[in-house]
Amino acid sequence: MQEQFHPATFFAPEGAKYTLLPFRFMDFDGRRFLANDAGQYCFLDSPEFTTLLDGTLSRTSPAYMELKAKHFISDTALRVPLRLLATKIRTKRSFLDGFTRLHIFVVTLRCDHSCQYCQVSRVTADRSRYDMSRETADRGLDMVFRCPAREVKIEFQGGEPLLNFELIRYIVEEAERRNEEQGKEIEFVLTTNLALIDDEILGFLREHRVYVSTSLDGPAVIHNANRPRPDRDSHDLTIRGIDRVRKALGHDGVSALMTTTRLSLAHPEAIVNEYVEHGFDHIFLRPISPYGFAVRTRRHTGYELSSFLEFYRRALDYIIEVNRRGTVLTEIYAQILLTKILTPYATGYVDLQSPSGAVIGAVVYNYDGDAYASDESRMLAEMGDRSFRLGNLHQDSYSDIFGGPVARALVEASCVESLPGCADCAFQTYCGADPIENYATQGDVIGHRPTSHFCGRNMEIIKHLFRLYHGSDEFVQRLFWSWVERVPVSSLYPTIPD
Amino acid sequence: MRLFSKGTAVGVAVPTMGKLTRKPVHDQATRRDYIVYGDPASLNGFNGDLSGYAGVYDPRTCAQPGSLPTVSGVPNLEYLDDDDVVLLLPSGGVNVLYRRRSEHNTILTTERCNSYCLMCSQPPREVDDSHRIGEILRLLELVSPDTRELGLSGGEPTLLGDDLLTIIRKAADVLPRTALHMLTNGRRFSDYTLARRLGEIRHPDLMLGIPLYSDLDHRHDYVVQRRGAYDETVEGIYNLAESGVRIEIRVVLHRQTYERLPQLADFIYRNMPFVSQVALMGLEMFGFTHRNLEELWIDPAEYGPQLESAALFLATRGMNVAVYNHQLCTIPRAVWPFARKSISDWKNVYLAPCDKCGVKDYCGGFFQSATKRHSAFVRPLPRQNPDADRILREWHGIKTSTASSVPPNS
Amino acid sequence: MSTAVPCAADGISALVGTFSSDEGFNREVALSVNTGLYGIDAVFQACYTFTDRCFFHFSHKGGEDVVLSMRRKREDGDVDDLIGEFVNELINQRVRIDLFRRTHLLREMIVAQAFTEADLLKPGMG
Repeated sequence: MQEQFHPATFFAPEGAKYTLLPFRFMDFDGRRFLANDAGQYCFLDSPEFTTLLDGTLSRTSPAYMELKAKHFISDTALRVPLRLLATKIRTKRSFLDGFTRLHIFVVTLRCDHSCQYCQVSRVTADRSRYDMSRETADRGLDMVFRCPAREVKIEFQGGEPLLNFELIRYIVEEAERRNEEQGKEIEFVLTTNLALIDDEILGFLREHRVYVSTSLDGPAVIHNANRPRPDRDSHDLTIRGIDRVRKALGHDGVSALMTTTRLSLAHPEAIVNEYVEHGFDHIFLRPISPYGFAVRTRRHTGYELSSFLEFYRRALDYIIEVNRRGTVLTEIYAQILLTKILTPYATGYVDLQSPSGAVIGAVVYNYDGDAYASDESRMLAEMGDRSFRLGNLHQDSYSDIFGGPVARALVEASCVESLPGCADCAFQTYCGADPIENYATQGDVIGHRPTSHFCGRNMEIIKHLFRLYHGSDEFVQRLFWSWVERVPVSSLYPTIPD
Repeated sequence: MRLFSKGTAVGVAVPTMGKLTRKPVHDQATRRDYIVYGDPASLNGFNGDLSGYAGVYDPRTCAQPGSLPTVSGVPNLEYLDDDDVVLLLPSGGVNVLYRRRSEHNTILTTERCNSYCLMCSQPPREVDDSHRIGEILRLLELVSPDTRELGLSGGEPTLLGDDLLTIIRKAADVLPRTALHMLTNGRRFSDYTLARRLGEIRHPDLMLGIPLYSDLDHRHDYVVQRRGAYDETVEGIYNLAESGVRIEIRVVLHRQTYERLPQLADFIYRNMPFVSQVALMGLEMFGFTHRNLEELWIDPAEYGPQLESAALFLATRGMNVAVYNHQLCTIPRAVWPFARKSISDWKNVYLAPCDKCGVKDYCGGFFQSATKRHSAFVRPLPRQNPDADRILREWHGIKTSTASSVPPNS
Repeated sequence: MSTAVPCAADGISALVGTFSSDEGFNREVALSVNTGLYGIDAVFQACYTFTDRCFFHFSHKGGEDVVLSMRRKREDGDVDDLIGEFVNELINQRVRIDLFRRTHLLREMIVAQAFTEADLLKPGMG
């Protein structure tokens, strides 16, 4: 006898209650926003939310089906939802693999600029006791090769690193030599103001595929005000330097970073235009680090959170228009946040991680051998506060530095699941913790969320991105995906010309 | 085109398998792999030396029966050629198991299945067909090593248990350059050990095509008519992925699966981004489909929005999407880049309106069974503009020597 | 002088006080909260969220009731709005605590499963 076919009702759970799976919620533009540890999210109306919690949400409602498919509720055996959630959570934490990937070598403290927001002492060119020695560099490379990460980035910072180019050369060649046995993928980055670039240096950079990163704060008016040189031609030098580097290393061989100061805040469009004009396909809108020299010169560079957010919104809106008109320009901070929001994947951006990327993501080796949890930690030390000094390369071992009390305290203090204000936040998976910023601005590593700039700006930017993505402008959705997928928006998927 | 026919058997005591050959095989040791193929004229070329061959196959009538197992007078299989593998049956039946010049060779592993899909095109039979295992192992020895791809299907291949692993292991040994594409519901792979053992074979080019019909368990279970099937399939997919086995998710589109297709795309992206491809497939008017037509039938043109939404959703997120068994006139233009000419040659036809169609060259056409029922929107389309025409030809590997079969930016 | 204003939420009554001050705005508000209904944890969580805008002072009224004084740091809108927002936040926090109670064990299982080599969900494995 042939087997019968059963109707759909035969397979639907009958009268089964549903179990709530773990999630967090917040009020967002008059609705309830829910998110879980996998970063999946859902918008519900308030009545729907109430019935969800009461256990009376209707099985046939679209909200129910969405919540079930996204693992906010379960009405069957828990085995599969739990396994899927566990896998997704592990994926979101994959940035932990390999431990510290970014190793910053401060090859010299000397500098020829005196930027108002710089946290480095203004030491002039003739004090060579502020240079890193080969012995220190060797100990730093010992650490790099002790770390398990298969892919590492070695970044040269300063002062102005090119004032100690010979040591950069040494570190690159020595790292490559040691790597012949180890087989890591090493990326080299040189941050520089480009004033000292010459053909010999460019030849070296090209040969060893060293990326160049420079500062471009905006058009000359802004850039020069932020970064005064005695002869006051910083912007021009930068642009000429960029052109020169591009000729030697290719168009994408140099990238630019901006620092936002009070002056910048009034000119978002001009800054974006500057980046477009000079052929950059990305711009990173990040707030100034609110301490170090910034604290000292707060009159010039301090700003209210709301001013920064206004700047960010205007700049992002303008960037969207620039893209709409056909120019490819990615905003990197949005790209990072959107990757966390829209994809199952993690990002490697150390400043927006939990536990924080300090030490476990990035480490700084200062010219004198002192190791720090981050660039900001080093700057605090320059101001007399050595709370986040991990040790010294000449005196301490790998486990002292990477597993010592400072490292552990930073990790413990930066797990968002246990931080007041973060523990219940619906944006938890998209955000991170910065214990060093907390310490510098609020007095302790845990921080005070209601008055935290870190929290305020991330919360608002995340909300802004959600509003844009779920707004009615389809182009914005495709643009955001083009940023996440790192392809031009016209190549997002194949099309046939009409 | 048929893969089975019947003639007159003489001396076929047991099912006899062999590669067809019109020319004598000089190496005596390998003659047992071959079945002499031909009419009296080509048989002359053998000069009467038929010793050692496995059998004789003559589509016309043998002038004189030899002592070898012989089947003759077989209609409808004129397409057979050298190195095609046939199975001669005592009844006079001839099964075509493998055609060297075809791109669509599929091996039926069993007719048994542990699901009972509403639209099954190979309705299960509860029979003991374990004899197939030995036949398959033998077949793998006879398949030409330069074959690009073989399919394994059923029924449900995993019901063979260890024997399935043996088959795959053998394929890895004797046909290392042949890709293996196995259709399975994946349920038995909820047993982690089975998945791990499959992964350990390290077949050089194995892909499992596993259907998933919804982001909701009860909807999927309804389509496959088995409670708990969804959970088993999802666990199977995870176990296979953890064991290093490549997976393609397949979705047959019909009335019971189209509505939540975009949500299924989201589910696949968030939970299984590691799959190699997602295939969105048209319904075959065959097998069980007729018994459940009212639940299943929807004009494909009506689910165009969901199809487009799902395809673009996945493509935007960097996943490979293929649309099979749909015609260009019934799907949105935005979906054309994903449409593949995929219907097995032996069941591929075009309809009358297609004669006037300007895009027929790059359209996959219909299942044979579509002549019974198909979209009301089938109609000839105008020729495309030169740019579009060029791109479409490239994608489908037509004409230009530098063509690839994959769209340029996927 | 103070007047008791019943709020929309059960278990909370607001005592609005007008204090003489240089600022001239309703600077301090006192709420009587029934912790049996809301839980003292929810009260503290809600207060924490408002510590950028207010200073808080607690005193025990008797039984399960707690008197919560909120002293605004600056004039930022209507004091009724402040009370309304605070009460909504109190409710949200109460719901969060409930949600935590209902789901935290599952969460611990999921996270343990995520970071262990073994399959904790499989009987007999560990």
